[in-house]
Amino acid sequence: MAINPTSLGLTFDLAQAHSVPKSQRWVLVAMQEFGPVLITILWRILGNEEDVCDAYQDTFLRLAHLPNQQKPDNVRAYLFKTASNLAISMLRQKRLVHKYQESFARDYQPDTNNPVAELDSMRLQQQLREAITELPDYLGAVVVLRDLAQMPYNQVAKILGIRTAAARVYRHKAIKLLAKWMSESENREEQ
Amino acid sequence: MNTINNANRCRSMEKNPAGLWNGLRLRLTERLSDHVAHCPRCRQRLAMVNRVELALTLVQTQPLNVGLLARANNKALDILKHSLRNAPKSAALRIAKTDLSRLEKMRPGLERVLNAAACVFVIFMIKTGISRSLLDYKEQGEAVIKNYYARNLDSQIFDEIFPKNSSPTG
Repeated sequence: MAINPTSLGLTFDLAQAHSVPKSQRWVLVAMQEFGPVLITILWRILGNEEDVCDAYQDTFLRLAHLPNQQKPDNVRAYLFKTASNLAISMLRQKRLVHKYQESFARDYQPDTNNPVAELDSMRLQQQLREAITELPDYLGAVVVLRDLAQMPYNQVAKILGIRTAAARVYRHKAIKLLAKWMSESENREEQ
Repeated sequence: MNTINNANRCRSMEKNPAGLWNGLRLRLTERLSDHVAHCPRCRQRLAMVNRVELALTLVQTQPLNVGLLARANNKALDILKHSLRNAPKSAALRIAKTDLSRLEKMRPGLERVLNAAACVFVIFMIKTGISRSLLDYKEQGEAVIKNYYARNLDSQIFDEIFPKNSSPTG
């Protein structure tokens, strides 16, 4: 049997693939264990498949490239926090672009109101997402974990490193702010 | 003046401790709903909060594409190290599907079991004569009621309730 450089290379690749250093294997384990929940959270925050994939990729990129390829003490907490922060940042960026496009469209096109009832739920979701981007980080994180990831308060508190009572208070504050901002934005749209 | 009174009442409602006694008597929720019914400010606040809750529910119930997990995994794996990319575990991750809830997973099996149980129940009812006995009881009950009305009502009302051409019972 002739041995050529290509076959040697393939053999080397296979050998390397099956001998993943144990220090790095936890990234795949984390992906397997927390991937589905992360996707659900990201989908609920972003509501767009392309953005979900981008945020998910970015989250694991950060996890795999931590200094000295070090495993965080609490991988779950790290992943959830990073993913929610990234998603909210993406929403903020999108909001800026959207605002710019809206002002551009207002200047150059007549405003058309679409009276389709189906859009109401979409608009409500959009308003909620926009309001979430305005929340301070510590309140936004609680809303994301408690309401979008549907985690119990004790887990939310554990992930964010706060007390359960504090998580409840933060959530209450966040909902009050969201209610205020969403009704303001509704009034603005009605005018 | 009225606004000030309302504001004070709202504040007192907020500060009212949800003690065990109040909880046991269900007074707190009752008082709260009474207050909301009469206070426009709180009603408005409640409506605003309900809107947020509705939006959150809508976001939670947004259907998720089953193939999204595999797509995201593929994208994430492509930027990892070569050794991780080709590890056996990553092959499974590339075709992973969004996790269904436990109830959803158990649904087909559960439906089969429930259908079989319903069949067994019907056969049991027929075999043991329970269904026949139930019909007998029903007919006897109707006869008793008819006799009771025949004794206590005048014949015209009785004929209206139980027309002559109705199926004979008892």
